[in-house]
Amino acid sequence: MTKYIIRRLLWNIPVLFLIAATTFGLSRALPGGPFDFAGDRSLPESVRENLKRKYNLDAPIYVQFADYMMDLMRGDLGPSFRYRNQTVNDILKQTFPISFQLGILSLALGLLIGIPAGIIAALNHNQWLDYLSSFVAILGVSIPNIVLGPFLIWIFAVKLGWFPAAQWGVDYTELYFGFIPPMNSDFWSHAALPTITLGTALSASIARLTRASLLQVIREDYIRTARAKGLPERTVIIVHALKNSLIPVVTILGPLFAGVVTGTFVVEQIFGIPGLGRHFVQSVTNRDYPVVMGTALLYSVLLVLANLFVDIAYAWLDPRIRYD
Amino acid sequence: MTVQTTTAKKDWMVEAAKRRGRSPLHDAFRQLLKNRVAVISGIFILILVFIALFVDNALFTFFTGGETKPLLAPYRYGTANFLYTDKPPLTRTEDGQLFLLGTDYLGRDLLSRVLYGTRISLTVAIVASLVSLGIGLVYGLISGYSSTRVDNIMMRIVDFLYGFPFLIFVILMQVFFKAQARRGDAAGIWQFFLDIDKAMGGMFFIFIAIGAINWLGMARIARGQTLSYKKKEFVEAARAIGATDRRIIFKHLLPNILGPCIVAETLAIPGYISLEAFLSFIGLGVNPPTPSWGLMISETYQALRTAPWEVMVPGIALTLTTLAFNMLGDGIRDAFDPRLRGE
Repeated sequence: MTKYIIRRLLWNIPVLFLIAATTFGLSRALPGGPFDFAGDRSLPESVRENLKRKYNLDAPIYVQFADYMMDLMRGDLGPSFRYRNQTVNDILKQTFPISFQLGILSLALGLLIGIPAGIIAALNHNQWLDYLSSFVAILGVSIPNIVLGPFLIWIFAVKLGWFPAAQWGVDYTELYFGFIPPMNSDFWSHAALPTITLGTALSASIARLTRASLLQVIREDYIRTARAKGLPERTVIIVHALKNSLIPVVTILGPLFAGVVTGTFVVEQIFGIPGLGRHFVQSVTNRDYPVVMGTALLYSVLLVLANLFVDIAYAWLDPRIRYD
Repeated sequence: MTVQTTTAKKDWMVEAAKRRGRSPLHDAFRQLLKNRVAVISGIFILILVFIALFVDNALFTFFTGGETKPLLAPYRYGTANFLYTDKPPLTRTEDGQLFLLGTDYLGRDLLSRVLYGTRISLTVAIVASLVSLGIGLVYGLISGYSSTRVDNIMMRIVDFLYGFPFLIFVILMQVFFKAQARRGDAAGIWQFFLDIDKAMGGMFFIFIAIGAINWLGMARIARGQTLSYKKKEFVEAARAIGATDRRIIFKHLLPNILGPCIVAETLAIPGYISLEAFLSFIGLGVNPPTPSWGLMISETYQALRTAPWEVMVPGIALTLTTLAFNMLGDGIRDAFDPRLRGE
């Protein structure tokens, strides 16, 4: 297993390198440059030239790429061209923990609601509880974040006034270990609506998958055997059926994770959360090349780790799967 | 069997004759018609198609020339009425115009805009799925049918691309295309594509972006299906009588693997619709004033406190559409899945 993990990590190095090269090339291929505007005014030609020289942008692109990769090896993602007093490392350090909190909370919500809902639906197959939860699940899958977010704000923030409509109740300076926020009422009240917005679609798709896969598993012979042994129904479901039925759920956690990142972007914009999301789009429109590279690489590394985690979880859930 | 028959034998023959003529697709379609939810969703989608086609008379003026006028929509989608901005549903103007679903921040009729919006969402749904189905099927068929060596290389490429952060590439691509379109001094084939994009209100490149992402999954499914069929006797038989590879792939394998691929594609359609809405929401989708539902939401969600209907109208339209496609997709999947069939 360790060998497999190492091999997978090694295989990902060329992938990440190609991602870096492609992103680098594509972002430089965009028309316009990072110093075309300072605020609303356009910069004089001579100033632009000097700035370009300062950031080595007049060098051939392969030299720039080589320089970038050398800096990357040292963990230096370079300066931001737009936020001139910040480095890309600073920006990621400030914004990523917030997006990460939002993502983890929604994933937790998705699993906590999705798996039990799927189990309940499957155990009450073709009864009203099944129909109800299936309908709620398909509705949850169908409603896009850009609709659910404003809808929740309108009901719970504007009409009922239960939760604040915007912002994230954490000062990034007071995080434990760099990403765990203090869990006070301020945090939870701000986190509630964005987390529900992002977690609904997750829990809905997890519930649908859990239901479908559990329905298949309960018809297997070994479940009949377990029942024939006289095991209580609860043991049969929890110990024998559930673990196997979670395999397809684990499979989609990788793609779902990518979806969470997309989602955080929209949810952060709707709720005015100062996370990483806005830099994904803004850095590209600003031609802020180092930030584009930084966000792209961070996202790719996360994606790679998520897929690796999925494969490891497979082997744990199904001992028949062996990687050598 | 509750059918009244004269003899048992005749009944059996009729049944057998009926069975012989049923192809898998035909069979699945009959099964689908029994699913009430799927049928209702299908009808809803047909209504959307009807709206998209006849929201104005562009379909006729395309051939005859002349000015386009709204047919089903009460007004043009871009007509602004600055005396009546941010009006709630059922507002009447002094000269008797009715805004059934209210107006937006420029005084444009929301009903008209939401009806025009069906065009964008449905075109994306159809074209993006055809693009992804087309590329994915051909790639998967070739990969699955080829030697193990070629298959390995082709699938490694797919695995490789799977690790790419496509969201970032979509954003980069869209920004690139938009900047090119704004400059408008491209040459040759480039300008041709940019013109197409402009004529479609900025939709063309969304198709390319969405198609470029989504063929990967389809290629995997098509390959898996091809692998499971290519060792079957009927393929062997076809090869024995001298059929070419191309004929085997397209005449014998393709019809058999089409079912699961169609199911997967239908289930992917809601994702395409949401992706278009998402791109338009972050300002990288259609060009204003083209009324995409995502763009309508992004233009109005900040006015949620004072004018909630401006978000709700496109939001409900978007949700109902994805819901209908999801339910139809579920129905089609169940219809193709023989394990659920009660025969």
